[in-house]
Amino acid sequence: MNDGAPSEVEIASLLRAEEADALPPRLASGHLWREIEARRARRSLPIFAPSSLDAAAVLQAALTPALGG
Amino acid sequence: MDPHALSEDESLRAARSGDRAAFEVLHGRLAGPAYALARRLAGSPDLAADVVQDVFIELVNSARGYRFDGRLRAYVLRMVANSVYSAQRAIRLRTSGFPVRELDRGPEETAVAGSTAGAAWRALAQLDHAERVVVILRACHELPFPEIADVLTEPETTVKSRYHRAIERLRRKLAAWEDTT
Repeated sequence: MNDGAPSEVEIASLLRAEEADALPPRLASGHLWREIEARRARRSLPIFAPSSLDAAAVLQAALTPALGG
Repeated sequence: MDPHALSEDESLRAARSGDRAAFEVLHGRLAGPAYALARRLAGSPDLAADVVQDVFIELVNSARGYRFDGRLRAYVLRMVANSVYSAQRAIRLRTSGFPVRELDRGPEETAVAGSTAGAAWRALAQLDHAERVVVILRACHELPFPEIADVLTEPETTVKSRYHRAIERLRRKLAAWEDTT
């Protein structure tokens, strides 16, 4: 095809003319691994964290009227 | 065992069990291509980094999704492409009525503004998302069509015809651009 428009190969070459950037610091493996571990730790926290004593107090308060009645 | 001897699937299993060395191998193989795709699709480096970070966290911390079928690279690139699309759509919805210039720029535009390469990236930005993914994976990442079909979970014939249609549209846009310069 010789219609003056660039060919497929020329277009591919134009799009490759500039390399994509290097990885930014927050995508470095060490940084990502710490983020992965932090998210994993947050996800595994028990529902009544930080204090199970607080949770017990909440439960006790909720049940008291029923027990008292 | 030497973590470099692990397959990508084995590296992911080990990383999910807390093996940092295995994660580093996985990161070494996949982070570069994932970020390059995100950067080229998203335009914005910040959005690209957000997407890739979330993809890796989801990949390692979630037991769902990947089926360990030996196609991890395609799975990761698919997650990246879908996440960029979702993020851009959310930004457009939040900012509807306002011009979002950043989304229309290819990563190279700043460096090559006014050049033919800049015009090629601007023309690419006018294609729809699926066409851009195919062109970037083929032209920039130099993936063969069967692999691109894997990324998009579409038949190879569909991917090929979309690619050739997209290239034809780019040719016309670039010819029009050259006529005006």
